[in-house]
Amino acid sequence: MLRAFIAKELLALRRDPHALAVLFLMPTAFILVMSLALRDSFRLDAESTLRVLVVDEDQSADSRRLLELAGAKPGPMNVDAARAALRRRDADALAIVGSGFARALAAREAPQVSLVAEPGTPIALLERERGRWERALGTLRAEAALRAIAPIVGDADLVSQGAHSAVTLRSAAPTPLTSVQQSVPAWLVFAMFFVALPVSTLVIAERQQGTLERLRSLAVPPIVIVLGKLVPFYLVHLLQVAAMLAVGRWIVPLVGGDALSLAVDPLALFLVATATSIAALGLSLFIASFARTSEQATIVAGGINIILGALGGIMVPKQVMPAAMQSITKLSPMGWGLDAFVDVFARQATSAGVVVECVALVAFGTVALALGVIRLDRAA
Amino acid sequence: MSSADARAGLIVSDLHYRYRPDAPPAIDGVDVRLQPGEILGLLGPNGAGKSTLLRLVSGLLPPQRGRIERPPAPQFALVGQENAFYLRLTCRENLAFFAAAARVPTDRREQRVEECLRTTGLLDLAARRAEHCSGGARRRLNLAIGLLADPTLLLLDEPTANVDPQARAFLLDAVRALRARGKAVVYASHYMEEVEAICDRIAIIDSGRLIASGKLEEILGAERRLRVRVPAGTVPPAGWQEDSTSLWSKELGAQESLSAALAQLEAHAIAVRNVQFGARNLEDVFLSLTRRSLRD
Repeated sequence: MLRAFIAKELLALRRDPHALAVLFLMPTAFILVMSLALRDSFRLDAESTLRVLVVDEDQSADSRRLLELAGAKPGPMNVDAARAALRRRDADALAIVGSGFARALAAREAPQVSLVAEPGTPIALLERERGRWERALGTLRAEAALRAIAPIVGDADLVSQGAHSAVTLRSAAPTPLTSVQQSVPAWLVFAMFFVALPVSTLVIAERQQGTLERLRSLAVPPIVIVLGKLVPFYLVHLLQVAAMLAVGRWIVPLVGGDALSLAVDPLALFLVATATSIAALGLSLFIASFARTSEQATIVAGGINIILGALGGIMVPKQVMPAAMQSITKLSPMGWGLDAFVDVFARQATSAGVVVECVALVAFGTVALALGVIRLDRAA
Repeated sequence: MSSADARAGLIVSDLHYRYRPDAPPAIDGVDVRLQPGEILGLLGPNGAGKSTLLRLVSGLLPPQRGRIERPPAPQFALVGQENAFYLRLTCRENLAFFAAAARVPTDRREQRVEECLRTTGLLDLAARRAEHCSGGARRRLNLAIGLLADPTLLLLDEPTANVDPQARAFLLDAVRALRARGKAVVYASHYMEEVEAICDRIAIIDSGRLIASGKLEEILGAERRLRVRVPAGTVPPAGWQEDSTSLWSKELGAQESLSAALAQLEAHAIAVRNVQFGARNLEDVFLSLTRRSLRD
């Protein structure tokens, strides 16, 4: 009998283009957009995408060397023209090496280098730009100091050898976290939780249309009715996982993004997918037990998912959140699912490495499911 | 609650049910008996307790007092007011699914689906999705699903609600055919003409109480009430009761003739504008019993 329930649900879902769009097209679109949008935010060696105008008012050997070290080229404009360009949004920021730069450097005073930003420019990118100039300035100062002591120590190569940065930046993981490794799990988890919409509207429709009552009058065991809803959507979840991995692996590179690495532990991936599915299905049934109409279910399920997504680091990656907000992601089961998937994809975690998140997800799902079933039973 | 005592029919004894302890009784001491090959018309206005009684009989509500004997599921079937099936499935797919839910043996499912499609005239629409079927076809599909397990007892709740006359006639014929095959049918409706047309026995329910029960002829012929319409403000002599504005009635004794009763009014100079006596319909019966219209 359960097989008939599963087949019926999958058949009905196959004929529901809106549900299929929400469950498959929506995450695909988000993965494509966000993988590209966040690509440079995750790259350790990313070039800055800021359009920076440079004005060298000092025109000294030191200021030219500073520009060289910063990898910047002075523009043809003076400061006023550059500021006007900034106001027209022809640039994101303006770097000004003030007149008297070389003199201040020699006198060991604060040299005049300033960054002026267009108000809409992301702070994170500006910080990266400032770091670039700080490093250049630091190198320039080191070169000056080494130049001063080179004759004393009798090493003519001291300047060229000593002033270069020795710090390299590498990821601890075998493959560094990329935007696609963040976006695929994030929007996959979001889409998995979005089954709350079709599941809750289906349950409500069955209640309103008397189908549930008819099944009960036929003495269909309640467990069959419940599993008849959950098992098909669990299969849908597994299909979502496969589909979104395929999008990350093969579709994202087609539009210029990085390819998702599939060098993961299959058992860990399966466990995380199953635990996330249980949590999502439990929440779905819980919402269905409270909503009285399909419209209510759509609004409540959509709203809860968006809130859980925002809290869980789906919309804004946890890595770019402040520390306080990062701790808030622990409140959202979507955050637990996302952490577990990122562990699998970026940290090559085995099943033992994701057990904590999986237990939390299963516990959440079980409690929500139990509450939902109890409420539905009382309502019947 | 259910037992083999009723075999293929239904016995309901002293049934009581309240939705809340402080609410008035939804079912108040109802007794019903139904034999195989009989159609019992359950008549009453909306909210009278018909659907509650059927939900109690089908086990969806637990009786708080009283006894229900009926065949076990799926040898009985409840066909409710709603079109309880899946709109995205075709008629055949719906029937196949509910056949599995009703535990029709696998090797008989296909045959039962075809039989039910034929019985309800849905063969031509078998491959059509339910969402694309007309209202009448949906009601027929609703009935067809109820027939899948070949139940001995059918509980039909307003089966012709919101259908056109043609579909209504088809459904009534289908119910008659079920009686001919020895099925016991409870036919709940507030359409008295349908109940009069197909039911062998009638139970009138109002405010949860069974206020009349018996064969159709017994119920229709149980009283010798004369009804007259008189000018507004006119009051007939003692013995007459006012049913509604300008409408008065009097129960005639066995020895009292119709002409004598009318002569009495004439003697009081009452101008009678309309007279009704003798053959009644269920609407009249219901009105006299409850002072309410069936359409209320």
